[in-house]
Amino acid sequence: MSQSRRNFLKAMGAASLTAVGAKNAKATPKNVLSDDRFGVLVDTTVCIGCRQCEYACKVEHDLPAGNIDDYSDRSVFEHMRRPDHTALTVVNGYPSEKDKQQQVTVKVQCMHCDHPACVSACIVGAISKQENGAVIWDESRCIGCRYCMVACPFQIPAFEYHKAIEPKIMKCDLCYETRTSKGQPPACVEACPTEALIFGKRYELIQIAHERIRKNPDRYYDHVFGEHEVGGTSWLYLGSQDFSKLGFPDLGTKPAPGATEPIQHAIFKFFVPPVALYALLGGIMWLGKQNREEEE
Amino acid sequence: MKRLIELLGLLLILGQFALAQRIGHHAQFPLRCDECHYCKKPTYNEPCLKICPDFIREGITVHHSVEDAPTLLIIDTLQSKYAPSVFTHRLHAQMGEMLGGCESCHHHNPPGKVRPCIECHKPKRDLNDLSRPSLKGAYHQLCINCHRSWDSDWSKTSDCYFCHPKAGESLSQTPEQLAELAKKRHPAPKTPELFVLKSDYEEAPLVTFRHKEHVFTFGLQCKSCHQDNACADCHRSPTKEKSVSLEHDNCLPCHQTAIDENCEHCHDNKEKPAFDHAKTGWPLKPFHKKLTCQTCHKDQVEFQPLNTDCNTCHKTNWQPGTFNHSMTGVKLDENHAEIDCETCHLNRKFNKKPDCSECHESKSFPKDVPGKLINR
Repeated sequence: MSQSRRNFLKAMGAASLTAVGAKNAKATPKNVLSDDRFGVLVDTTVCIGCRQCEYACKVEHDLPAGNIDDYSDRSVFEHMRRPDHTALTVVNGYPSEKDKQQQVTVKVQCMHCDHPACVSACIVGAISKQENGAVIWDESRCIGCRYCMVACPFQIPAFEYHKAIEPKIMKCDLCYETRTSKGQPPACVEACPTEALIFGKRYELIQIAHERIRKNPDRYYDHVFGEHEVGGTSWLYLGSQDFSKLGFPDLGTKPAPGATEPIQHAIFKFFVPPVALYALLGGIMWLGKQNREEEE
Repeated sequence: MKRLIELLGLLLILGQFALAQRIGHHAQFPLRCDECHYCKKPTYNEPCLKICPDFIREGITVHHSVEDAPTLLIIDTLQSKYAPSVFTHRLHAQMGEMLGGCESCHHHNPPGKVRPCIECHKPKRDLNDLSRPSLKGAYHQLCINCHRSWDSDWSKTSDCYFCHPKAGESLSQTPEQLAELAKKRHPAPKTPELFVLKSDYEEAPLVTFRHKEHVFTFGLQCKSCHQDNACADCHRSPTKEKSVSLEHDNCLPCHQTAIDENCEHCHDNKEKPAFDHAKTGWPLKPFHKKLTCQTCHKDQVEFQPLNTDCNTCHKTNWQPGTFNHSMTGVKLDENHAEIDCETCHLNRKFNKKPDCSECHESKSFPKDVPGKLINR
């Protein structure tokens, strides 16, 4: 069977057109900032540091969880811990300013930003923000560049360095697949015995948070962390003292991708890098040809 | 046609009026809609009311004593991981009396008798009213307010087994142990005698607060002052130094601290002596000394002088045959026991000095006694 160059090009053109068409039909723009997006409100004044959330998270994500009784050991609060590939959420303890004998315990995990820097930084689109608020990672697309780890203002994504084959980016996924995509609360929220974690519509949680501050001005520091930080996050925190003393970074209210995105996007706009690269290569070839001609 | 338009117009105006009236009724409450309704647009058919809206702050109106409170509650409404937990309710009620009373736990109680937690806090969280904890959340948030200091100060773990026995055991206590728990009482707290505090009021820096007097003489309850205290304020490890401080607000419910002329009521250059009723012009004789202030000064916070006439409080008609005169500390001899009260107590003024002039020329009480003085 012979195929002329002309026929081949025709077929390719048709194929690519259908491909583009199909892609357009599928990609209705997601409303990632819909009013109905979920969030979790963490009232650190209610948290007792029982770490049941850590246990529930590990069970939910098939990570080695160990014995539940080991989680009542408070000596872990002597050092600050970060979520890693073995634990997608951890609870840290900080000295309380109001009561020297007490600790304020704060659960840490992915904040599920409204304008996630990891999504912006990912060059293959493996991380995406879902309409229900979750920021999730797609194993099939990830190339393991770990740009997301660098981009995250909260330094949350972790990487399975010890795995030679198919290492994963590990971070809280708001139990997207198993729970929140069906409207159910994440495993940690369900496990929290004191209901220090409340799962619900983000705008409602903000109302509840401000209501609590209004009713108990002595109990709460007048700020809802995550309402405006880095453009807003799905996880919101109430605290009894300044959030910088609860291990939270001071990040301002501008979305984290704000600084890097324009530069990156400008560079990649209108195929600038490939055109520039080919122009450079073409120039070198041309120069080389010139030199050869001169030698001859 | 014109009539129809007029009729429609009238209906429209009436409708507006009815709507305005509804809003007008609600506008009497200084409230936001979401304090009572959990949905955005409540209607008359579906008002989506919250169960215990916060504005009903009247609280418990039908009170009962601690001794009438349930002794033990077996909390087994939520048992998946743990066995039922036994809550020593009366013991806790008694501890509550030292702090905020029943209301320290039974908060937002609708007017009437004390309601159990489950009436407002349902076992399953109501997703329409996220601000209200479920039963499990409510239990924990309440208990942990005090128990967390217990955990972090002494046991250094967040051990769930302190309250919850492990699952598998149905009820870990035997009936005898339960009976023992039901009898458990908090030991009566030690009442300090007095505090002499130094204030920054230069003219008269010393403030004497007679704690015991306030409790036993003036009849104040712990909760009248210690409402905002926590258990841990007393139950601290001995390393914590105990400091006593008083603010004007602490005394304000009874003493007018805001009025400038009242300073010397508490402030002085030296320790103030205990309250002496004799200075009011009515020394308390043995019998009255045993009474609390409120027995006579009913419903009074700022004590005002009372009419000292005995009939003000004693409504009985005392007569020689029925009245035991020894009560007063004077046992009448045979002669005096038989004469009418009025003979000595002129015009039945028992609060005045008795008069002997009716029969004796040169005798007077208390120099001369119509019988003998006895110790009651």
